[in-house]
Formats: sequence, C-alpha cells, structure tokens
Amino acid sequence: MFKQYIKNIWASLKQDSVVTIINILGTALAIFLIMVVVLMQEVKVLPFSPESNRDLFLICNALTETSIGKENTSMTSGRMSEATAKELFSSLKNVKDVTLFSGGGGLSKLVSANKSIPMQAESAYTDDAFWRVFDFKFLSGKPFDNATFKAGQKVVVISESVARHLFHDVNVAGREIEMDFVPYRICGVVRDVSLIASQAYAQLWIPYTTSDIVKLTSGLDNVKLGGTFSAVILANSKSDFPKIKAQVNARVAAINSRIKADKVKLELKGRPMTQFESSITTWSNELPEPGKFYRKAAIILLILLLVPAINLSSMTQSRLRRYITEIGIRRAFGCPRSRLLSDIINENLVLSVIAGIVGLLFCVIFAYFASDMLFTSDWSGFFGHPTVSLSLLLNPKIFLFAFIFCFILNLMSTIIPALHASHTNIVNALNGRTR
Amino acid sequence: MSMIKLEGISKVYRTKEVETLALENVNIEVEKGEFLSVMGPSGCGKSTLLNIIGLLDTPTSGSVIIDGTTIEQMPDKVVAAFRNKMIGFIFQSFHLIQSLNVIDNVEVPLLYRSISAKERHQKAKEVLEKVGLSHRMHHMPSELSGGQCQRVAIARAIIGTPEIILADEPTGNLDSKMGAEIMEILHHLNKDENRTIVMVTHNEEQAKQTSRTIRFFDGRQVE
Repeated sequence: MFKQYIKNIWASLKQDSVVTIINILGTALAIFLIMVVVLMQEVKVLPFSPESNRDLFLICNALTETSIGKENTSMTSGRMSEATAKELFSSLKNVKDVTLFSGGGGLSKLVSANKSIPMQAESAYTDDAFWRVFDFKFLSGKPFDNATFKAGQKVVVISESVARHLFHDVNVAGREIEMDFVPYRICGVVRDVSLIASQAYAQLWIPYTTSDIVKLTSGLDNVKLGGTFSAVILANSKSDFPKIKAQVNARVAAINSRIKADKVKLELKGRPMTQFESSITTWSNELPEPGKFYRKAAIILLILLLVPAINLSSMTQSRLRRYITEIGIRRAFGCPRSRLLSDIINENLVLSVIAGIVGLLFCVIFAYFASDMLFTSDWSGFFGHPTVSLSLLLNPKIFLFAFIFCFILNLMSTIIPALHASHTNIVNALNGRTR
Repeated sequence: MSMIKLEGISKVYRTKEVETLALENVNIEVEKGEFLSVMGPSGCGKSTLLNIIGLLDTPTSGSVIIDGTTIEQMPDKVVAAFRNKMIGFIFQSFHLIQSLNVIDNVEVPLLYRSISAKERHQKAKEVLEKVGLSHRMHHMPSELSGGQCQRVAIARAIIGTPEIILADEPTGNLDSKMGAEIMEILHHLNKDENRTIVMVTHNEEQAKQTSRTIRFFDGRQVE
C-alpha cells in the first residue's frame, strides 16, 4: 500500500508539479519553524559533553533572602556564598557527587604565555568534584585533584582554543601561563566547551582555593548568605531527587532557625532544580512553573501548526477537487468511504514526512551554521560561542518531535477536505462535481 | 431468481427551486445471463436507472434487489464491497485515471480486495490479453485511441469477475468500427461467460443485437 501512495504522489508530482512542490515546501517551512522553536528549548535540556549527565543534575544557582516582620520589607536574590553552599550541599546522602563553583564563565582574565599575544578568556573557580560531575574531554594532562585543590596550588585547566592561541599546540600540560599577571601551571587541556553548557562553560578552570572569591559575601544585614557560588548535584538516579530535596529543605529550615533573630528568611525558591526546571526559569527569585511553560509552549506550537495547517488545508481541498473524478471512479469500483479517507490521509502523511525531512534538514543546517543567532542571549556578554554538535542536533528525540508535528500538521490540514471528498455523491464525483 | 430486480423505484432530485422526477415507479427484472438494452430520449432517466442498479445512487423510494440481496440502508462499507464483487462499470467517457498507466487502471477494482500485488498484476495482465491490449500495458491513457481506452475500461470492469456489467453508452464516443469491436467484446462476455449486461444505448442496431430492449420516456418505462 505504501508503494501505492508513493506511486500516487509521483503521479501527482508529474501532473501538477508546481502545486505539489509548493505543498511540500509549505509543510517543510512549517516543520522548520516548529523545530527551531523546539530545538531552542531542547539544547538547554538534552545531554551533551561536558554536561552528559544533565538528566541526573540538581542545580542551585541562587538563593533569596527576605527580611521578615520589619516595616520595610526588602529582598535580595543572587548566588550563594561558599559557606552557605557548603552548609546546604556538602555531605548529602543519596548523591554521587556535589560540586561548588563560581563564575560559570562570567569572570574574564587576561591570559598570556611567554611572548604570545595576550588574550581575554572566561574563567570559572571550581572545586575538584567539578571534574567528576561534568565529563570534560581532556586532550592532554588531567584535572586538579583534591590534594591540589585543598593546598590551593596555582594550577589551571585551559580550553583547546586558549592552548592553541598561546602555544599553537594542545600538549601543554605542565607549562606555565600568566593570568592577570599571576603565574599558573597548566595541569590539563580540554576540548572547547559550548556556551550552551551553561553550568560547565568557561575557558579557564581554576581551584577556588587559590582566590579570595570565597570571602565574597552579600545579602541582608548581618546575615549575608549570598556570594558568587553555584552548586550542581549529581544524583545516582532520578528517583533520589525527592530525598535529596528533602535533605536540602531540612538544611534551609536549620539555617532559618539560626538567622531568625536577624529577622531574615532564606528561600531557595524550588531549588535545587532539575535541568528542565532550570531551563525554564530566568530570574533568581523565580519559582519554576512547568505548567505555565507547557501552556505557553502549547499555544506557540498550536499557532505555528494552525497557520500552515489552514493554508495547507485549502491546498489539499483544491487538490482533491482536481481529483474528484478519480475519487468517483474509485468509489464506483468498490472503495469504501473509510478506505478513501485513510488513503487520502496516509498519502498526505507520506507527503508530510517527505516535507518534514526537508524541514528538519533545513533546521539542522540553520542551527549548525547560525547557532550564534539562535542560542545567544542578548545579555550574555560571553566571548564563547554557543556551538552545537551534529550529534546534539541529530538526536532521536528531535526526530520524534519532528515526526509527531508532521503527523499532527497532516491530520489538521487533511481531515476536513478528506471527509468532504469521501462524502461526495459518487455520481456527482464521476461528473467532476464536488457536491 | 432474477439477477436484478427493481420494485417500485422512484428517484426525485430536489433543489431549493425545483423538484425533478427522474424515475417514476419503475419495475424491472433482469435474469442471469440476460443482455438488456435500455433506450429512450436524452433526460428520460436511463443513466439514473443505471446508477441505481449499480448502487451509485439511492432511490427516493422502492427496492433494489441484486442476486437475491435487498440493498436497503446498508452501511457504506457493505455496499462498497457488494458493488466491488458484483458489478462492473463501463462509462461513455471511459473514466480512466489519467495519472495511472493502463495496467494500474485495470487493477483498481482489485485494490479493494484482499489479494497480493503480484496476483493483482497477474489478473490484470490476463484481462488485458483478453481485450487485446497486453502490448499497451505500460502506456498512459493519453497515449491510447478511444477504442483502446474503452477496451481498458472493459478490462477494468471485468477483472473482478463481477456477475453484472453496467455499460452507459459504451460506444457513444467511438466511431462505428471501434463501436463494433466493443460490442463484440460485450457479446462475448455475455454469451461465453454468462455475464448479465445492462446497456444504455441510443443505437437501435446495437439494441437489436441484445436479448431484450426496454424503453423509457420522462422517467417511466413505456416498453
């Protein structure tokens, strides 16, 4: 039967090439637009190196301090101090590991080596657990370990592009560079990290024990729970998430008991969050609202599907009008209405899948070559590029989304013309009349 | 038992402005193996009669009984299957599907039966051989003459071995030579394969060659 549909589509193409091609391109464009929207969200959630464990992450990148019981209520939100982060997240049960880090690429440094031209690179201050939570690809050397971290040794892991800029080589573990005129020894070189890896991204990774960054605190009155640190928890499995959150909530309650006298309340606003929740939350004092996100996404997708569906529906209707005599002939020779309906829908589905493949191809090519346009926020201010790998773009989940949208679009654009055609009186259809 | 029986058949076409009585109280019986021709002036209801016998249209009142089965308020799927099994159509303007080649056109009735593509293809080749067109299997309808098109239409009508063949002015668009060839095929189907044929025609000579002729005028049978 599939062969029959291809035969009919080919015949249609030969007979009415302009209309058929417009039909295919129209559907392809609709799928392309929808997939770009889907991709923009999916790259924030799909796992890829060095964030291959995104499914098992719980992320806390902010806390909120609110003054309570005072005349003028004030609130401040932002990252955590190192002390607060440790108090909340160290030694948790049911976790594989926890990393505390500062910067996420937001601190730039002037980097130079020997007589090389200095460059600005984005840095992050991390602990040694960072390298166990994220799966970086080391091109040479290795990450700094716990002993090096505790000792506060001035070592650094650098990215491939920094290594090539400074040394024209990646095998530079053991060599020295200056960062803001302070010498550091390179302990490892890793593959460049895409800006899309929002937690792991940087170009230089330094033990935070080498810096005064741990002393930086901010917040209300004497409490000052805020600072520059984020935490990422790597769970053993998703089923442990509730237990982990319960432990963290208990620690928040303990902190709140301690700071009650200062009339300040600590809130994590739903943190630590899953990768998905983190991707849909913009502000530090915002609670993740998946329901709101799904409703918004559904409305956007509905509009993106409805507009081309109405257009394609009218094209399908006019195409069927042209073939009304053929419909009459088939019905005369024993084709039941239900079969006619399914044949029309299936034929259009094959057409939609062909168009969907074209649309998906457009989307992948566009996303690959125009990743800057799609994945950079206006206010990011980073030097890095939001590169996307082909393996990320050619993810089975993306294909599944594309196929589902093809199917829905096909159904929306075909069902009414198909029902109309199948209910046309046979004699009228044979005589080319649609009623 | 008659192969085709129409009892008290009437057909009224209603629009907002006008009501047209296409058939009025028609009673006809056609025996198995009979070759019946239907004659009358244009607009007398001949084609409407054929459409009702062929289950392409429903009567306003009356019963249609085909091979002992009364066709009344049956689900579309049942009627379609019955039509596929029992009835083959030959139209004046051939009604071949222009986007399909000859053999694909002939196969159309078998698409709605549970037979394999290989078997379908084999049967199509056999009937095309029967009508003398096996050498044109992969041609498109636009590449054939009128007579050849009608022979393809006949092949399509008989591929499912239907008991009844309904022909609506099968030679109307053909010259006398081609028309004679078509009539020869129809006679062969009737005499040698015992198919029941009901043919609408304006041609007296052709009507005389059939077993019986009935005449219509203004929706009523007059002879």
